[in-house]
Amino acid sequence: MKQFWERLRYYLGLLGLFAKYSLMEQMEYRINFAAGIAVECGYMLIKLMYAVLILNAGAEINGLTANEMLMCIGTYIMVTGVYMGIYPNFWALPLSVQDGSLDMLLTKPVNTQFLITLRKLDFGMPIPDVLCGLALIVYGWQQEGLPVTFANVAGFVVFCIAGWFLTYCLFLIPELLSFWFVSNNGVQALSSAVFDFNNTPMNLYPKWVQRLGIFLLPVFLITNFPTLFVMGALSPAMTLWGLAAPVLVFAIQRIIWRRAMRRYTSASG
Amino acid sequence: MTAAGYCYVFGMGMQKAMAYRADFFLSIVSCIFPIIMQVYLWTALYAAGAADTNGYTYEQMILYTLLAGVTSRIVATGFENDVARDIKDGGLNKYLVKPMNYGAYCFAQFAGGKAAAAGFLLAAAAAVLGGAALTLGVPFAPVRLALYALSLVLALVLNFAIFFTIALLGFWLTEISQLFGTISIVIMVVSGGVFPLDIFGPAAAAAAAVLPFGYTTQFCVNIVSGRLAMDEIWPGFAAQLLWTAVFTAAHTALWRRGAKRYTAVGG
Repeated sequence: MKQFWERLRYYLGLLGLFAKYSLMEQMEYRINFAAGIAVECGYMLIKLMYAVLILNAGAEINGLTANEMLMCIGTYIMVTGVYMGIYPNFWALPLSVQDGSLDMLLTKPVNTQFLITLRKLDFGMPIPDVLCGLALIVYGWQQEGLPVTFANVAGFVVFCIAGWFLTYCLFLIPELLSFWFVSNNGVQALSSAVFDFNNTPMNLYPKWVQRLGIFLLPVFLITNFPTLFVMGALSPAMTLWGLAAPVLVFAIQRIIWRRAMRRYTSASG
Repeated sequence: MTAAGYCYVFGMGMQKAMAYRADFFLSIVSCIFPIIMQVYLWTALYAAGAADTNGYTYEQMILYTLLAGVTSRIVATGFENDVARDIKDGGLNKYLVKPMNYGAYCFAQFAGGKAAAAGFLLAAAAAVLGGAALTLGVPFAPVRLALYALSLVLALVLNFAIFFTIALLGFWLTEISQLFGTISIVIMVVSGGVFPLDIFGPAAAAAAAVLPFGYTTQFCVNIVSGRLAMDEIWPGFAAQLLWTAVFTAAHTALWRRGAKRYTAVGG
């Protein structure tokens, strides 16, 4: 147990160093930093259009009020923002496989996945998403009059963290295909399109789509479960699944990761 | 360079688009998901009687969603990063020393890439129109279909002119790939590629009518959906031509100034 805490402290320390050096690098190229924020504002604009439509409609649809749906969209925007904080690593992975620059990272005495997926942190892109997402969540929560208890807030935060972790695992899998294929742009586009199903709450989709998105490819857990928990609309079985699914997907992702690493052959000298 | 030379570049554009076939088809398939999502959204909103759409009927809105998804894909660009990279990394050198027009070269390659995807996308558009005629009971006049095809060609040229103009800003800004990301998204939104702009009120509708972007997607879709009366279509074509002329003049001027400013880097 003591060894676990020591390792955790070591890796948190490393994460702190990664954050420090990433911030220093971004401050060196400030226009790029601002451009990153502008790009995310563009994507956020599309997500907000869905929110505006639902808010203008103002109706209860399949058991969710407009404010509750707003909370789901807010959660999606916020989780996407936090994911964008580590996105540069995901974007760089296929390139480093192609040009062989992965070699240097493999020689470092730390967990390879930790190093490859978390060494560059972007501080600009998450800013608009996190602020806007939080604003929508708070607005929807307040307008709906949902109780602000410790259990509700803690449950909401736990499901958001689980959702972020699930996003990390689900989005890493398409990137790992670069170990098998020269170009995986198509798979990346496809996975982003599937993730974008969260632009609207899952209650707008038919039951069979909901089941697919909850159990087979659990993208709906990411943004719907935090709000459903606060509403008290999650059954104990679903609550358990909401917490177990990220662990299960992580295990699958680890298997693929190990196979990918075994397959890697350096491309350069 | 002769017309035959540009035809060869057109062929190269087709080959480039089809180099990674699995990627090509997966990226086309991926544009189906947002359409499915929006169809369910509108179905739920109309079923709840809560859709605030400034007069769009359910059938018109579903048709708009389906056709806007295909149309925005047909007119989408993507060459702007190549142009910016050529300017930044010195790749432009090899074009400057040849007796050719760089803009025409880019357009030939862009059109070649589009031709490769056109068969699939036009089949998708035909399937959407046929499906809509059968399930939604929307009749399509052949003349509107012909005008839709014409508007698509003009929209392609207009979108090329817009993005080529933006790409040439690379002469003045060294790192603009992220800027392209923002501009592409904003243009997709203001062109009506996500939702028809007129559902967001009269101001948005007026902006769509005045600005060039709506003429790359929303205008084309509204021709075939019957949202535009026949006498409203011709001014739209005029606007497409006018904006194409404006952006062509703009990128010609930018090219002249930029080429003078350009300093070759690399070999």
